[in-house]
Amino acid sequence: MADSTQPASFAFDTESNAKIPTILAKYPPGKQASAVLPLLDLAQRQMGRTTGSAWVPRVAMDEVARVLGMAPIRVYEVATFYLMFNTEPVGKYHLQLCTTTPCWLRGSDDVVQACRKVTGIKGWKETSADGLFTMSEVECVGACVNAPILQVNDDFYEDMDAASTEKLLEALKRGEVPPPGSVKGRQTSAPEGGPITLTTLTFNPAE
Amino acid sequence: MVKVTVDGIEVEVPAGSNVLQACEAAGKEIPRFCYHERLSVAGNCRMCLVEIEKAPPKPFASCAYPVNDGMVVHTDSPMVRKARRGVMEFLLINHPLDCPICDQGGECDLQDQAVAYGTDRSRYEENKRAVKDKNLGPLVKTVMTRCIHCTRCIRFSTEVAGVPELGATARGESMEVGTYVEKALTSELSGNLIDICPVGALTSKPYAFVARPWELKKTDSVDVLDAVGANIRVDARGPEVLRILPRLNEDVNEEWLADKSRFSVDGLKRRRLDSCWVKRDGKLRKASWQEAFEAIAAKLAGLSGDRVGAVAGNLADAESMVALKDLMAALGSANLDCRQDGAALDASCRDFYNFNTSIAGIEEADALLIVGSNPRREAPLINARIRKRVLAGPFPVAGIGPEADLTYGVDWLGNAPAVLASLLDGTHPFAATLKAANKPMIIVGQGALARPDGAAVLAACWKLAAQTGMLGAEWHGFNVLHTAASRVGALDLGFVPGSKGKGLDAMLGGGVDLLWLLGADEFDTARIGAGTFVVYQGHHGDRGAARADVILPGAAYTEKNGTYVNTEGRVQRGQLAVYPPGEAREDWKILRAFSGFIDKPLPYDNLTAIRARLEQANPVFARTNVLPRFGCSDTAGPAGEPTALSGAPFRPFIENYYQTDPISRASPTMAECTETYMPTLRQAAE
Amino acid sequence: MDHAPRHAYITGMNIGTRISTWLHGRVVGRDAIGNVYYEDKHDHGGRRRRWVAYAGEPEASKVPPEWHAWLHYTTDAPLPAQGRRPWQKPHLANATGTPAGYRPPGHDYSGGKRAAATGDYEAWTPGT
Repeated sequence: MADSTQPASFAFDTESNAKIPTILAKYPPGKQASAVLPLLDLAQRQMGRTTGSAWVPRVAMDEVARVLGMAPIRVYEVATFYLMFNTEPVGKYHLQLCTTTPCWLRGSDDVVQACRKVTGIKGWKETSADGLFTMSEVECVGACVNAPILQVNDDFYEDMDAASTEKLLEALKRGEVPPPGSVKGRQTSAPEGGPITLTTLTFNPAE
Repeated sequence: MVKVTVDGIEVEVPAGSNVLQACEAAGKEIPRFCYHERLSVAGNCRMCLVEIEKAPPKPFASCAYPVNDGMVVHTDSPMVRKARRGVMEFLLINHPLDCPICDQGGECDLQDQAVAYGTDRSRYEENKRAVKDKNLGPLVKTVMTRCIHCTRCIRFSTEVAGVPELGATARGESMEVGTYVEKALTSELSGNLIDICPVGALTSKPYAFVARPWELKKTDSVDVLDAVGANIRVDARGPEVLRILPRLNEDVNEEWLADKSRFSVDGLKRRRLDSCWVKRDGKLRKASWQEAFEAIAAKLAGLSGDRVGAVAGNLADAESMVALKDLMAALGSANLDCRQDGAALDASCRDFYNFNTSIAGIEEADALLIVGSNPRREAPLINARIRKRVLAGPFPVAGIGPEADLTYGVDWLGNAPAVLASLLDGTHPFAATLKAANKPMIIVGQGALARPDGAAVLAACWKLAAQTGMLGAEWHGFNVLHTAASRVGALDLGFVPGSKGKGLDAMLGGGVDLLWLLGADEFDTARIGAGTFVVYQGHHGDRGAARADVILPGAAYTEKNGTYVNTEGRVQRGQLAVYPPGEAREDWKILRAFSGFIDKPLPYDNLTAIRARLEQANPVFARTNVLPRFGCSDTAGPAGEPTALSGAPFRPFIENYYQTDPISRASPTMAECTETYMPTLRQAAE
Repeated sequence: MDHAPRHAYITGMNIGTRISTWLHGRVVGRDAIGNVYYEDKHDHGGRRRRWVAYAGEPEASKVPPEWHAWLHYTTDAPLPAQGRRPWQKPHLANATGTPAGYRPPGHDYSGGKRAAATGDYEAWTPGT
């Protein structure tokens, strides 16, 4: 835990506070501790919104513990268990690279190399010098049919290769956010180059 | 009851038991790391695997599998053995092979079970993981690489100690047990983490690298550093007590021990009185027993009995107190007192000063009022019992006194005796709660009694108990919580002013010419009159010894065979583990020798005889260890006017839990704890 | 080796050993303190008997390591006395039981002041 980066305090802002009652209402009375995951997520998003770095500092965990009336250590346990919660600051764009077998077979190594080349990051969990990117290695993100996947914050960019990765990151550097999904123009996970079966079927709502 | 067959042995266990308990009932040993009968079931070590017939053909974790009627369990089948070997191999993957330098070596569950249930060789050649050690304060040493993630410590701190500060952070191979934010554990029961840790991850910091368990001589004894009377085992090597561990006693301490009782041992080696001292020309000089006795006898010559007085200290054993009382009687004095703090205890009836509900009885109670007490500091083990009761189900707890974190929810009604009055006249809503309860109880602390209106508070509490149905034929809900191990024994022996005798206040300020202090250090010695000749008999050079004219070196509780009565009135015996240092002697023998010296010999020459004298003085001393429970036969209250309450708020009776007596004040470990946990007190003292 | 007195062995032998040595012994060499090393001059088959005549009092620990190895048939010849490292100290016989023997710091003859040990306690003195 890098103490030097920990902020001194954290409080939910108006936007987050508006959501808390809705979240708490989902759980039966006395079981508010169940809301620890959504509240941590809320805190992480608020950090991303306000500071540009979506992470959960320790003071935010303490605040969640206070709101839910649980021991802080119970929140620490949850926040450190789930890898989607960043317990250390990340860049504006959190590049989550899947290197599990399907993505790896489809060329995730090239994607990783391209990311390293563009951002100048050497190892995992490091942030680029300009503070824009953090690279994380993640296990299967569940979109193997469109492998390899590069997840940027919440969005999946699919069917990546070295060239498209470089293009995407350059665009992010310029401040543009390209539309997520398959960079090869696939419709969801339909075959590349259009359907190869049931080609005669047409969809006619009138029938 | 459910019938279960374990390895061909048929046993009956209560429904809802788990398979492990059934196996224990059948006398079969089941290896385990995470399972602990006083903690919740985690089921994560997988060491307790057994085979169950007519169930899916796989090994079951017996600690987390409930029994069914007609279940047939095998604990030693080839499948079970193979499964346990596999589990052990996994556990040892990341466990370092540092047993030779590990303090747990020789009393390590992992070591024992690896021998009994593991394989004889390792197939693992990869690197082991290493984990950074955590700093959990001055008492618990951590070597986290040895941790096998049984989570017992996490469950203990959350459930029993009530300080949820330990947790398992991160996941998988990076999982670590710790506090995440580095801090010392703020529990008075943290030493028990050392006992429940099945490996060497949590060990005792003061005892680190001191001794191996097989070098130690173990002596069963009783703790005296608070009034709970926890059963302890004193581990000594040669003339030195090295550590103190709890001993199982379900009725008193279960298997826990408070930190002060466990870690004050190093105080037994410091500031010891090991020879007689006699003051000559205004300066204390070393002397022989002969010279010391001569000095006292010379002072006694020509003194009338009413100019002689005695005060019993908080750590005194019953034998020495009865001997001192008899000596005073032989000198013609009735000036006796044991209440150094000035607590208005009424010795006329045992019910007035006992913890009548009994410690185990707390678990039966269904409402509790705490008056002027902080059980967490005054008796951590009783506090743990109350917490256990709170966790077991609805148990309204209210407190009158300074607010404190007792590790469970307490409804603080206010800090003034006036609240007691409003409970008495029924205007306070909590009075109705107490009345509605079947087995309500009240705990009166010394903080409520050691004040000018103490007698009134005691009487008011008794009256409240009578009004709210605490004093029934079957249930006695009136409790006084003591902090001094000697106090109940002293009151049982009548170590209070006799007829025309003077109490402590009257004896001070020149009320007597010779004052005999039996380990009495807990009052302001500056109040003793300048002309009073003070004989201090005790084991530590503390306040009393500093004021003394003659010092007689006595024995500490690990150095004598002593009888102690705990706050519930349970008579227990401690045994001699090591001999007193130097010229020091067992206290009752000193008094017996002095009585012979002045030709007024006390009529007992050995332990059996003085214990017979104890029984004669009060029949309760005949009944050791057991505590029959009585209802309240007589609801007449103690002397004191229940309405004469003052307006002064109650004050905390113990400021610093870690230093309350000569032994813990001499202990460097306790001084370190004070520095860590009571930084404000430390500054105030300087 | 040669600076040791040539007749030194005489003091360390009784009469029987002296005769036996005169009859069977062949001098192999001498060490720095004058011990003389013999070997059986007749071949009886098997290994030849080796023995030492001590300079002065017979004391087994007087044999330095280079001759010790030879004497116990570990090496065929004594280890060379040349090429000693600076850290190799001269051989000393076991001094235990003699005035030169080692005494730990707490020993009465070497001050009698020892460090605190197990079982020690700290006594109270007035004013502390």
